[in-house]
Amino acid sequence: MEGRVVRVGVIGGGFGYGLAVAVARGGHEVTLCTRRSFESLRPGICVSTSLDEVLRNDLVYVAVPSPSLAALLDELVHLVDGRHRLVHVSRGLIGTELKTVCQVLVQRTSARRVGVLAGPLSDAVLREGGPGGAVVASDYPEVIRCVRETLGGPRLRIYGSTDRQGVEVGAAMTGILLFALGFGAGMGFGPSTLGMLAARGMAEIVRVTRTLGGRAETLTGLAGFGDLMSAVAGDRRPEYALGEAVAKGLSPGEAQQTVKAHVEGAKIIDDLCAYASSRRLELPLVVALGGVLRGELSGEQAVERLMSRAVGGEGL
Amino acid sequence: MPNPRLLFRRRLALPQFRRPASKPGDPRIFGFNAERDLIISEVVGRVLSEIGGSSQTLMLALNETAHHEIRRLEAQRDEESAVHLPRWHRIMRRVGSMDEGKLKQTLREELDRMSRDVAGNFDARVYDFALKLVRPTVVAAMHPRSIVSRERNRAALDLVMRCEGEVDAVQALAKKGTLVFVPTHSSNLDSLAVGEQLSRRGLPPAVYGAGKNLFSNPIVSFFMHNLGAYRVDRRVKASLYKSVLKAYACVLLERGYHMLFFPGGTRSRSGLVENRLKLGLAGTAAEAYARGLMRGRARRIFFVPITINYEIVLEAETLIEDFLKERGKTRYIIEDDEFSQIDRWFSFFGQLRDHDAGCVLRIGTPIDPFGNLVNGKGESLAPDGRIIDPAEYVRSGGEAMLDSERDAAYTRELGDRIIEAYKKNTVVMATQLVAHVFYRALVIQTAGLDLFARMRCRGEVRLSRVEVLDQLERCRSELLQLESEGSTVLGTSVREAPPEAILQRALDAWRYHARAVIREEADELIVEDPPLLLFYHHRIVTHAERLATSEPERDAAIEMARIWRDA
Repeated sequence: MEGRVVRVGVIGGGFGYGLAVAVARGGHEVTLCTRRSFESLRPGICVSTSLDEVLRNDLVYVAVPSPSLAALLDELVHLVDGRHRLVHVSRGLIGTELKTVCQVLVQRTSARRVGVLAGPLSDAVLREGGPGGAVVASDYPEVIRCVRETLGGPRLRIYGSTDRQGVEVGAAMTGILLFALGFGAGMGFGPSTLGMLAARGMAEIVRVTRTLGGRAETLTGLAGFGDLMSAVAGDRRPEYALGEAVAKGLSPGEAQQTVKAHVEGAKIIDDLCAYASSRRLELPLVVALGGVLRGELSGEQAVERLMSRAVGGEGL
Repeated sequence: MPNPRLLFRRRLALPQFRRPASKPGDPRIFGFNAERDLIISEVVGRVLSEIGGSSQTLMLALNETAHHEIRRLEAQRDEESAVHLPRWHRIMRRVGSMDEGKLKQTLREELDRMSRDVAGNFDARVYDFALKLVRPTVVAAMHPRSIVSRERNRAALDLVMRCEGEVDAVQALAKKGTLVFVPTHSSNLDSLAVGEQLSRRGLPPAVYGAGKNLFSNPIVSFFMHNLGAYRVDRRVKASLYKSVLKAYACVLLERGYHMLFFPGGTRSRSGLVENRLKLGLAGTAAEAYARGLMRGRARRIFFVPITINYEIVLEAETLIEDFLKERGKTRYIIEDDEFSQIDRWFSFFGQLRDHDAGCVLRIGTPIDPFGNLVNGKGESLAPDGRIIDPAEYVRSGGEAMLDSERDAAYTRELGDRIIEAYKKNTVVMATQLVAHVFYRALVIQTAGLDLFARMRCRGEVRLSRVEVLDQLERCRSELLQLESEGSTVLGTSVREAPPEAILQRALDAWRYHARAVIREEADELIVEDPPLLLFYHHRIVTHAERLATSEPERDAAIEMARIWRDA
């Protein structure tokens, strides 16, 4: 396996281009499916607008923004079969049952060998070749091997995990925590208050992750703690900016426009509130943020509601 | 003087000299005995090659097995210990000084011994006899006058049992590949019901596994041993033994022996449809298919989900009691339940006789080992209906490969698909619908109580007949909607009868149980046996949230459904 040239497909031209560059750097051949045009392409990458062409490769990275995922799935249903290994990079959860993207891929298509790539992996790190790292999670060891072989390199460390559910849920929930931290910063909270917010938010993430079948310890890894730290350290993610804007009194719609990016976390918060209510899951922070996003609570009211709750043990 | 009890522990077989030879067109299992030795030698060879050829791995395997076997046999202190313990002590003493050849030979001998202990036997004469025996036994219990003719037997049994669903497709698939029947399991009668109905619908007999404890009864052992059952001794902890079992199941599947597994592992104590499966040995299907491809003789394997639905369950009282004890962490093994009480059999069949189709077997759409639905031609289908090649699932770089971790992941996916099929093919019976209405009312009226406190609420919850009929009608209309969405199937009475008739049917059926489930008092109905209501209601608990039409009902549904999610 070492040193062999692998043909890889990548769907999506934003983060996907970064992935394509990183794969091509390892001497592999990439077909990138995107409608974007590039002035110059790195050798080893060819661009196509045809999904058919990209899906001639067994290993395909799916790197489309979450809003485009549903439309892409509608097409993949007719094109994918048991030969494909699909690895996505989405931080989304789908519907009020909070299905992960891998679950939906397996349910709606005939692909089985699916996985997720997550962690503090930025476009810049991919294009420049690191140093950096990420985690790939799959039930299928060969998917983990394929990603390591094609994406990993001397300065890009790809860790493996069999807790696919934990990595996917953790990656999605970290976005919510970032929204909460941005909201706290926007409310003018100091570092100690933000520290408490992060810790109690993490307790809620652990509850959701466990309920959805993931392992709590996965959240201490790259997809949870790693991703959170990179955002806090300055990798300004739109979730954080959205939280700040909402705290300053902008409506969710106005805040979205200010941020100028799709924020997955905001959509998930609504679904999460419905899920928590139907499962009797205790998620006070998420529910308060949901109230703010729906315009039912002001920032101060949300804080008041959270702080007036009875204090119990620090259980997760 | 030999111990006479030992005679019963031996495997009893009919004389071989008058044994009929299998004919072309006979089910595969009819020729089992002719290739039994070949199968055993393939199992031994396969496990040996898995262990590898170095002295170190051979010694490790032998040491580990000796360690576990000595521990087990010393604890057992029975005839088996007397025979086998000295040999294992001898092996343990000598294993350190054995060279590679001797290690391999010793291991081969032990593997051969284990494989022979596991491997079954099939005698077509016993099979014919058993089929002839099952029908009249059931009929004698319920329609003594019908036993005089075969035709009447058939007709009488049709009153009790019905088989529906994808029968034609499965009949066609039996000629195209290997079938693996995976039924739900809620009663010891399930084996009889499945065996009888498979034969009646022209489906082939299947090989099945049975715990070694079942072989301790000489009569049961005689039938088990001669009907293709292989023995699983759950006391043996050595990993070598588990490898033998897996290899045996895999070889049988590769050779085209249809198989039957109860993937729930044991009877559902709670009454819930299985939502956690133990596909252990059935999980070798992906490997069996990949091995066939590698040899260029791929034989398709099709999983056939079957739900076995009873209006009343023979052992309901004991099962739910065991479930509640398990929840209270004092689980015990049921040794004496209604299955062993002949008067309960008569009472049970007597009630079923009065209920047209009181037992319905529903066969779901067959599934390939990778979780794809299969059509009647044996083609695997993508969710959009495209025909796809299942071989792609085991290929890597264009070549079929063996990969146990990959196959374990496929098996988990397959398990999820079988659970989905169970949910879709659960036939809702009157007893379950009526139990749901009463149990939901119990939960609403005892809000804040835990499960065990609620189980003690006998005679405390009353509902007016009018209210019950109204709730039954509302639930039925939602169930009809679920049926039209393909999410469940309704029994004839639930679909067609007026609510009064549904209620009466359930109340009549429950007369089988020793205790009253619901007591009638003027225009009121009073909950008398919460555990049995819990048991019957569990069968449709997955639809509880859909059946709720008010806020208190929804709250109760969320609480009731938690048991399915946590199970």
